[in-house]
Order: sequence, then C-alpha cells, then structure tokens
Amino acid sequence: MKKYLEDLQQELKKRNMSENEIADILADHKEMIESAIRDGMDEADIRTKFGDPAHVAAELSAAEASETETSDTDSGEAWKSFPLTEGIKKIEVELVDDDVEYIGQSNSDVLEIKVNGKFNPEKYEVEFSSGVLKLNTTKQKGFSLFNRLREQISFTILVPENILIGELAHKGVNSDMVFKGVKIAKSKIITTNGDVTIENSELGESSWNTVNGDFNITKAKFESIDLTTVSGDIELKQVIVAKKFSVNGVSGDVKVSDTEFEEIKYNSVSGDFEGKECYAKTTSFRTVSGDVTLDNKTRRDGDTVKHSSVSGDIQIH
Amino acid sequence: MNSQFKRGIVELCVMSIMTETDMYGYAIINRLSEFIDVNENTIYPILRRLTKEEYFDTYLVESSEGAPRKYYRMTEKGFAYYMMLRQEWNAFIGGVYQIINEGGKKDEEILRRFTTRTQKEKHE
Repeated sequence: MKKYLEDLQQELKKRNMSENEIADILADHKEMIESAIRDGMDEADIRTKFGDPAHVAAELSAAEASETETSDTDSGEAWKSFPLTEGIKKIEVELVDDDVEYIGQSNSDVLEIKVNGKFNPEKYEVEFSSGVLKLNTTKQKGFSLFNRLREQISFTILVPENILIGELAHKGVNSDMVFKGVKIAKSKIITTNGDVTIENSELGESSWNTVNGDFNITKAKFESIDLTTVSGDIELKQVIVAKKFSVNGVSGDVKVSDTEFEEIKYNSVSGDFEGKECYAKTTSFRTVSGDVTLDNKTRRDGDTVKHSSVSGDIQIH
Repeated sequence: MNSQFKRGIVELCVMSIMTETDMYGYAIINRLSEFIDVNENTIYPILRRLTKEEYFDTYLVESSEGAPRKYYRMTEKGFAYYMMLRQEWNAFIGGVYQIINEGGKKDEEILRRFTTRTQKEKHE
C-alpha cells in the first residue's frame, strides 16, 4: 500500500497538482485501500482494483485542468453581432450545461453574443434570421454523453434595452439563466438543474418547468407565471403579476414579499408558501404537508380564498 | 475503445448503482469490477468529479475494525442528472440496436445473408 501511495503522490506532483488536492486524494486512497484490505482484498491486487497510479493521476489532472481553465477568463469575448432590422421575434436556446445571461443594454441597436470560458465554436450553432435567434449545441446524433466535455462556458446575450422580445424559449439541463433589464412578451423555460435569476425585467406570460432549479426574481413584471417544480425553490421580491401566479410543486418552497397578483393558485405536496406583503384578489392554496403563511400589514379585500391542507399549517393574517 | 466514450459509460454505471444505496469507495469499485475492467477505467477520478459537481456528497462512518470509511451518497441534483444521462443512453442505445439488428438478430442469419449477397455478386 505504501508503495502505491508513494507512486501516486509522485505522479500527482508531476502534474502540478496543489498540495491540498494531493493530500486529499492520498487520504481518500488510503481510506479505500484500508477498506479493501479489511474486505479481504489481497495487497497484490491494489493496482488492478485502483488503477495504475500514472493513469489515475492523468485522469484526475484532466478533470482538474478543465475546471481551472473555465474560471480563468471572465471578461467575455465578443462572438457574434447582428443588426436588428426586424426586431427580435423569438430567441430559441437549447444548451446542456452552459449558462446564459440575457442583458438589456442601453445605447445599443444590435444583438450581441459574448462568450466566457474555453470556447470551441464548432460545438455551437447560432443563427439569426427573420428576427429569430437560435443558439444550440451542434446536433450530435442522439447521444451527447460521450462527447460532453466538462468545459462549461457561459454566453451573454446583449439586446437593446428598450426592445420587446416576442418570445423566449430556453431549454437547458444544468444551464443557469440570468435576466437583467430585458423585456419579453412570452417566456418558456425548461431546465433540470439550472437556476434562474430575474432582475429589473418584464417577462410577460411565463411558463416554466424545472426539477431542481431555483428561481430568484426581484423587481420584475409579468402577465402570468405558470411554474412546475419538483424541488426547486422560488422567491419573488417586489414583483407584479398582472394575472395568474400558478405553482405546481412537490417539495420546492415559495417565498414572496412586496408582490401583487391577481390570482394565486398554489398546489404542493410538502413545499411551504411564505408571503409577506403578498396581495392577490383570489387565492387558492392546496398542500399535503406544506405550510402556508400569509402575513400582510394592510388588509385588502380578497374575493375568494380557498385553501386546504392535509397536515400543513395554514395561517393567513 | 475511445476513452471519452468509456468514461461516459462508466460514469453512467457509477451513478446507476448509487441510486440504490450509499456506498464507500472500495465497495463501489468492487461492485463495478464484477462487470467492468476497473483497472483500465479508474473509478476514483469519476467519484471525485461527481462529488465536486455536487452530484454526490460524502460522510464518514466509524468502523470498529479501523479508520472511518468515507461513504458517497447521491444528491437530488445527482439524481436529476442521472435521469438525464439515462434518457440519453436509452435513446442512443435504442438507435444502435435498431441499426445492428436490422439485418437480423442472429449471427448465423447475418452471415447467411452476407454470404449469399457476396457470392451472388461474384457470379455476376
């Protein structure tokens, strides 16, 4: 065991790994090998079970390298720029891991895309024609698991501040999204893990679907929000929703403050709803074990308040 | 075989066994080595990476026989990722099976078709 750990240490040092990383990796191997011996493994089999030290070190440093490289660049390089003769009717984005920021820019009359991180343009397709922007990863017949490199990059899509984008459709898995200072008439977001941040923006009729992704919304306006979530949380601060705010959740929590709705429809298994200065004409809360708390200082007459919960606590002040 | 390709499959296998139960490093290696040549497909770098990506978290369990063991546990985020990998895998492997079985499922049948075709071409 000693020999194996020494060899591994040598190999890791050769690849310029940090002292901390090396110590961590060696400690893990010591633990695993001791476990293995306790479980009856022959010491002679260490290499067959744990791999050749050079191979292990190479794999580890490859993973490490792609991580550090991505965080290196941060300023963002200009990639594409399109003149806007017909406005922006639609933005269609389909990415797996890459993050996207949608930013409204003053004094601009073009649509610009910037890229951060180690970027391979061959892996992406972008086109803008008849007012429709499409950005996606190059189609790799069916299966992308094998060619997916860990090098995560992020895009910044800059649009003129005052332009109204007709529609946004963003489909991602781990892709995080940020909206700042943009106006969109209709938004559709589908994400597995990606988090969504919205600030100083208008997103019109919004339909969102997530498993784990969190939504953080501050100072924004919507026509309506229709959210389906498994365990993602949503937080609204200083938001106006002209029509319906509808949430279908399993365990994700909802936190609302200084916000107005016409209607709230909340269905959840164990997610909590916490509202402070949260006003709606109509509210309907249904949970199995989730708690609902509404705490409003000024009383405004809500038309109908329907609520039910199996074991959750409902408190409306 | 292309190493990127293999890494992907081994990653899928690691995630798959971790949906069932929490396991310590060597137990994972041992379980996989029943099916895969683990020496060539080093597992630890995968565990480390998946942990860094927060698909797994770890905790220590004291043992009476020696040093504590480090257990790996799949997170909700990891499960969501696994579901996505599975979907991609099924779509891919379904396509592959369709292609390779188009000319018949049995080796003899494929061989027979191949020989009849090539012999016919020789005669012509």
